[in-house]
Parts: sequence; C-alpha cells; structure tokens
Amino acid sequence: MQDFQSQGEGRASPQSLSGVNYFASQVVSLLVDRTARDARELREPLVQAMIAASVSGSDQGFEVLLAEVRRSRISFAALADLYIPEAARRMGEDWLADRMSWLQVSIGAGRLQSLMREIGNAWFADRANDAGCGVVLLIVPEKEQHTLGPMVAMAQMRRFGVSVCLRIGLSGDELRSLLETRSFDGIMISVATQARLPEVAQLIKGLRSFQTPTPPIIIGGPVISMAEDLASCTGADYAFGDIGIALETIGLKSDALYTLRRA
Amino acid sequence: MNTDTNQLHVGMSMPLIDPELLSEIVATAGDICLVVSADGHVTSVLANPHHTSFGRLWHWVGRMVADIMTGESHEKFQRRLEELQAPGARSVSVELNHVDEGISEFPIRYTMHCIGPDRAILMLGRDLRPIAEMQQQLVMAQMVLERDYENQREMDTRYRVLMEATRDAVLLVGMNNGRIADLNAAAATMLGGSRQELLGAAIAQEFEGRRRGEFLESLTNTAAATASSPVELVARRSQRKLRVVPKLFRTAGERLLLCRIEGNDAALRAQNDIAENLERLFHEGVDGFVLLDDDGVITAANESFLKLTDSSHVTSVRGRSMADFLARGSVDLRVLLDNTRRAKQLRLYATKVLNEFNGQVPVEISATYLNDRPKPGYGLVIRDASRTEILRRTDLTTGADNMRSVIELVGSSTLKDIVAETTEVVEKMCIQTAVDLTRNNRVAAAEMLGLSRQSLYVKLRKFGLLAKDE
Repeated sequence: MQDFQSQGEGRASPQSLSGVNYFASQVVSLLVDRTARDARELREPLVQAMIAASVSGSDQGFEVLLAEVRRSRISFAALADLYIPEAARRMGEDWLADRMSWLQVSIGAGRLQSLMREIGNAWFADRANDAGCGVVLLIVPEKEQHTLGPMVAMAQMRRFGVSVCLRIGLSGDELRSLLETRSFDGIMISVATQARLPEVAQLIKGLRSFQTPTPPIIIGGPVISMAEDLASCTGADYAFGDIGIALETIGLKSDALYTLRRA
Repeated sequence: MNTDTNQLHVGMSMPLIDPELLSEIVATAGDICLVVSADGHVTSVLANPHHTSFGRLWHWVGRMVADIMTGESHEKFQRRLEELQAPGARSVSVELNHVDEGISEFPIRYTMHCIGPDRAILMLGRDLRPIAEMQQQLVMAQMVLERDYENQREMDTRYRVLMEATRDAVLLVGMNNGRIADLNAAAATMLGGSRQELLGAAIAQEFEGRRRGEFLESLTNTAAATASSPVELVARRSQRKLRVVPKLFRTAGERLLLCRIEGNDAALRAQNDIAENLERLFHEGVDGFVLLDDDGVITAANESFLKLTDSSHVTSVRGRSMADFLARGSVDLRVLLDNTRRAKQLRLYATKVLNEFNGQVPVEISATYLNDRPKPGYGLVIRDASRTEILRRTDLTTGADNMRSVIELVGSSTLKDIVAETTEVVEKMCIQTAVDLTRNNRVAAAEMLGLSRQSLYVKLRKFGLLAKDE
C-alpha cells in the first residue's frame, strides 16, 4: 500500500515556515478563502436575467438561465437561498417604483416559485434511515398569499436534513386533526404582512389548545423586519428571520453547519 | 396631420370646451377620477357613471389621501408626487391600493397630472379589480398545486420507503412494453443485478429461455386464474430458481403486472451472506464507492457518491468519466489511475470533488486496482474531508504569531521587493505541489498549472527542481 501524502513530506510544515515563506503561505490561504467567499456574492447580471426570465412569459427563459447558472459555477443551493429571494425583493421594489405593474410582479413571483420547486426537487430529507433529524410543521396561515418565502425556507430546512410538513391555508379544524395524528419538533408560521398578525395570534392560540405540551412555535417571514416584539404580541415562543437560528434554537441543527458548508 | 396628443392645443387646434362637458369627459375618461389639493386633501371624486360598482365615494371628499389608501400605497403616492413636482415633469403613472369601509381593498392604476397653478393634482384611474380577481384565482390555483404537490411528495416517500424496506422481492412490469417499471433492492438481488441496471430492462430477457410475448402471456394467465400457482423461472443473471407470483392491475390507463418473487434456495442464501453484506455496505456506506473501468469511466456508484456530487440518479453518472467529477479533471484522474495501476493500491489521495453544479467538496480518495478479471478496473472509496478540513484550518490560524512575520517584513524591505519575493515563493510552492501530485510527470504538471512544457522547464530550472542530468 502506498500513501500518497508521503510525497509531500519534503515540504515544510507551517511551524517551520518563517519570514517570506510563511507570509506567502498565508497569502495562498487568503486567496483560497477569497475564492470561496466570491461564490456567495451575488452576480448582478444573473439577478437581472432571473427577473427578465420570470416576467418573460415563456419557459425558455429559465432553461437559458439554468444553463448560465451551471456555467457560472453557482450551486442550486445558492440560487435558492440568495438569487431567488433577491429577485423577488427587486420585483417588489420595482412595483414600489412603478417600474413593474403588480400583475407582472405576481406572475413573476409565481414563476420564481415554480423554479424553486424545480430545483428543490432533489432535496429530500425524508428517507428510511434518516428518522432522527427532526420534523417541522411549516404553516402558511389562511389569507396569507405570499408563498415564495415559505418555499425558500422549506428548501433550506430540507437541506438541513429536517423533514418538513408544509400546510398552506389550513383552517383551524384541519390543523387540529393534523396535530392529533402527528407530532412535530417545532411549528413555524410564515407571515409576510402586519395585517395578518391578529389572525396569526388567533391561530397560535388555537395551536396551543390543540396539543399540550405544544411544540415550540416560531414566527418568521418578512414581517420580522416590520414589527417589534413579534413573539409576545402573537403568543409565539420565538420570532426569527433566519432558518439556521430557528433550527438551532429548537435543537434541530446538529449537522446544519456542516450541511451549509457543503451547500 | 399632427397625431401627437401633447401637441393638440398648439395653434389653438384644441377647441374650447364647456366646463361642464369637460368635467363629464374627465369623469368618463377613467373609471374613477380624483382631484387632490397640494396639501393632500381630496377635493373632488368623479366616478364614471357607466361604471357604478364603486358605490358612493362622495365621503372621500375632504379626507386626506393617506386615509383612503394602504400605507404602502401612500408611500408610493408621495414618491410619485415628488417626481411630478420636479421641473419638466408632465404626468406619472402609479398603481395604488385603496381602502374603503364598503369595499375592503381595491387596486387602481392612475395617471397623475399637475393641473393649475395651485399645484392641485388630477388623478385619472383605471379599475384593476377584474385583473385582481384573475390574479387571485391564479394565486389560489398555485396554492392548490403546491398542496397537491406536497401530498404527492408524502405518498412518494411512503412508497419509496415501503419498496426499500420490505423483505419481499417486488417488481412492476408495464404490460405494453414488457419492461421493468420499478423494482426494489430485494428483487434486484434475486435477479442478480443492481436496481439501476434492471430498471427499464425487458423482463423476458431477465429469465432463461423465454420470449417476451409468451412470457407476459403466461404471467397474465396466471394472474387471471382464480387459484393461481406461482410460475417457476430461472433468473438469467443470478442463475437462481425463482417463483414469480403475478398480479395484474391498472393505473392511469396503464396495465401493470406486480410480481412478487420468491427464492426457494435457502442454502444459497447462506453462501451469499458476504456478497449480500458487501452489497449493503456498498449501497448504505457513508463513504462514496465508485467502480471505474480501465479508462476511468464510471460503471457503478453508490448513494453516498451521488450525494457528494449532488447527482440525482446513478444513470446520470454511469458512463461518464470520473474526470468530470474531479476538480483537476483529467489531470487528477491520470495521476490517480497511473499510480494505482503501478502500486495496485493507493490511499489518501487528496483532491476535490465537483458536484453537478460545480460546487467543490474536499475529499480523500483511496483506490484499488481490480486486476483479477479479463477487463480490469478500479474501485474508489471517496471520503468527504470537509469536516477534517475545518479542524485543520482553525489549527492554522490560531494566535497572533501570524501577524508578527508580516510586521517583521514590512519596513525590512520595500513593498515591491516583498511582493516580488512572495510571488516567487508562491510560484515555487505551486510548482512543487504540481510536481508532487503528478509524481514528476512533467506533461501532467504543466497541464495542471496551465503552463507550456517549455515554461515549466524554465521554472523548474529557476527553482532548482531539476535533477542535474536533466
């Protein structure tokens, strides 16, 4: 058996390097770090192309886009976590500035969501031998129409190895029967606008009465940046804008950091 | 004829209009029309008399615009107002959402015009509610789709887990084409192939001495018989005697044959224990396992390797060169295979694996040359090294010692000299590494560095890396 690394033994170890040698090796490791970081910075032309493809009204736009994504060495995880939310945010801004009509924005967001679905297809956390990694119920409350954000969150959790049960616009009764038959490690509620908060408070009250002890309830979504002290005013246990922190808080983030590095 | 509407009034070509008629024209030019004073009060509301669905909006008169629209819309309104009041601006368009006690929320697209010297604003609005209703239906349809999709995903998972976990060997055959539509690992083992190889294979070919037509016919007949006895068959690949119990059913217009396969050779099973365990290790092991043919083309790969490379299916990697998945491509592969062939075994070859979307994962590869057969090949075990790499990196960057060497350098010589010297050291490090990695294969090393062979020699000589007789 030969050990490939033995060839490199002639090279100096970090401890024995000094002066310029050490400096140079530091420069190299800095370069390595910088190349890795560049991958997480957004490429503006790609964001623009994504918005254009979303409102183009044809499927071809996305095919071309995905080819470009592969060429630019951008992972689908980065596409889902960074590019799709950014494109959605820009479209919202474009509506505020009347550069885009609101119909265009809703069609665009719908298309981004289908793109999300397409690239998220392979992210399965549900497997025969992966039963130990946590189960989360993700609720999009009734009347809440913003579903792209929850899709992004769901894809992230699935990549973290968490099994996600997504329920959109369920009534109180439907949620009650769901909680009677299943148990979750956490319940997350995605809220986009402040207007929904009174109903969310009502929903949380209901959830607490359906099952005791109730798993930790976390409120998240764009509303996080609009109101303060969301947890106490809705009756949730926590309010977070970051899935990683949320999972860590409810103790489901054992391998999350590792998975994130892989992404 | 001048068709530019902005020029209508030029040369008094726009006739004088009776003020009452003008107000009617304005009212019917849009679906709703507001006049807003400079201080933000609604001074007039005109609803199109042909478009009565707004009900009475007279109570808007005298109210602040902020009170009749959503907060977000008011922000937009303010911004457009600023644009309109900029010198040279004539009209701007804006989409706003109104709120009113009668109708909960409704969208209007306005054009805003500055009229008169008192900076009053005329807003001509188009009702967007019909479009809003369509959009709502779209959103609802999308939500239903999402819900269906999630349900289907749940059912899929159940089906997959059931197929994987059950000890019964089960396969599904499409009656139209006679091909295997799905099968579980237990069935694959019985037939003597991998699941991926057998998916889509013609079922008749998998058993000895059977033609497709008669094969399916005999199974269908058995399935249709009330008291069915199993069909006895010999699997072509594994040469095992098997009993097949068929059941016919229809799904979404396709006729499928569900076959339960039973083996009747308990003795053989004991013999196959190691083989079975090995197979399970291959399929369920945490490290990536890959089998390559003599040219480095992938012939088999396990789930962990697929995970490592983000590949969805083994079919998407089989038949491709292993070089496609290595960060240094064919250079990596050549180094790996040449060394393995020479020494039969190789361990701890450190490189990076590319996933389907060009992300990189550091790995350590051990390789074995499988030579005891007419067609030799390679077996690779690929271990994800990103965890250990995190540890190594934190080791390297501890302490303030790192900065000290830089401080020593600065001031001791000019920046230009430091950079030049550093470049030289970096160059030497890279060349040395490339030579090591390629085991002194100059062609491969040059390719790795993107240098011509000539320039590599020049640099090797410069750094004293050439043997004396070269």
